[in-house]
Amino acid sequence: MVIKILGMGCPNCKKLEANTRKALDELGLTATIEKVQNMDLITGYGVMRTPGLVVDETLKSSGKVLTTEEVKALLV
Amino acid sequence: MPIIIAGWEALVNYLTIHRILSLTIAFFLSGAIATFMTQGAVIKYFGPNAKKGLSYLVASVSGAILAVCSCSVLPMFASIRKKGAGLGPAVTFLFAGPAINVLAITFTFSLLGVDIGLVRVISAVVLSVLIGLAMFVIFRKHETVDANPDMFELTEESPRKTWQSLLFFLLLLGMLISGVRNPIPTLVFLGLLLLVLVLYFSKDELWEWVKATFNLAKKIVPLFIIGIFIAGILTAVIPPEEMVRFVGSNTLGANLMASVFGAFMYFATLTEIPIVQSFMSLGMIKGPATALLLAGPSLSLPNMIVIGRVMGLKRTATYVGIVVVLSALIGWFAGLFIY
Repeated sequence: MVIKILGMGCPNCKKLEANTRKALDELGLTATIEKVQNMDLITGYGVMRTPGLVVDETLKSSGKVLTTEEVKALLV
Repeated sequence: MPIIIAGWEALVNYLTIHRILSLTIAFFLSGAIATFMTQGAVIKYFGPNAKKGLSYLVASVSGAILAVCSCSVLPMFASIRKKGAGLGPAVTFLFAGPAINVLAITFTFSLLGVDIGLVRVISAVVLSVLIGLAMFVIFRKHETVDANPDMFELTEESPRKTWQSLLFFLLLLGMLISGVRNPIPTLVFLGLLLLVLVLYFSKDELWEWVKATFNLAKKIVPLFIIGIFIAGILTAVIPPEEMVRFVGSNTLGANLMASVFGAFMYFATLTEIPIVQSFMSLGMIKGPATALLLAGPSLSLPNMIVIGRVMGLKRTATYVGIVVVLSALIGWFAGLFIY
């Protein structure tokens, strides 16, 4: 599984990344986490409001810092 | 040592009960905008198929509803430009956002006065459209748009009817405007607001609102306090004669100097206001002060670098040039005809 965190490095993106890692830990899953900071790539996913969360090239959420629980719900 | 004391005194003088209360209300209003305002209604005007005139118009005022921090402005800017209405409305949005948010407006009015406050708001809106149009005209042949209308079709469901949300925002706005000076209407608004909250809002939503407000305050208040402190120090160390010499008369040069200074200096959100007030107490007059307020919050050296990464050197330089020149012109005109 490849998870991408879309955002230009603002505090919200870091928080989403931390929550995602925690969700993976709690679910016992392994995944590659990539940070996408290039604006063209970010808008390429159809994201207008960062942070965005992409799982296996599908955009799952944008404009929201998902909680650990919300990320878990997306991953299972 | 006297310098530190000057900073401290500025803080004590600034943070009156009245100002703290109105800032608190303004923070709650901003938090409410971030939590409850459905953005889909606004965003659809930035799509590739929206009428261009409407796009500019909505972009020029949407800063009041959309942009709370600059890190959310840039992705939206990039999306509007590449996937939506194009460079012009995107630039309008980029410029107007930081200038007309609720907190900036509240504080300009309460610290610098009604006349500068009004001129700042109105000219920021007008200027943003002019700058957007200028950028569109200059670069229209070189822009590639890869339109994606779906991005601008956000469906967000609100658990409330429109009039209920509207009532909620109007009551908060009413409290902000009547403030401490008119305690009776303020208390009436507060009572009605509590009623609306009990009737139409769930406990989780209220908690979200409080959290959003607190996060906003946590980000902005420390910077603002440092800004006031620095403003106090500036008042003590800059000789008034120098200030009067450079920006004490309403010449085109004085306005240009103020707008260039504003454009390149970094002002953290809201700190431009105490700094301008400090400059004014030293002898800066209202025209250049307006020029500084217009060019200041939307531009700074670090933010030019980020914008440069998104839209390239040539467009960024043109954008900065237009902002500086038009801000100076508006300051000059306002100084001649309004103040």
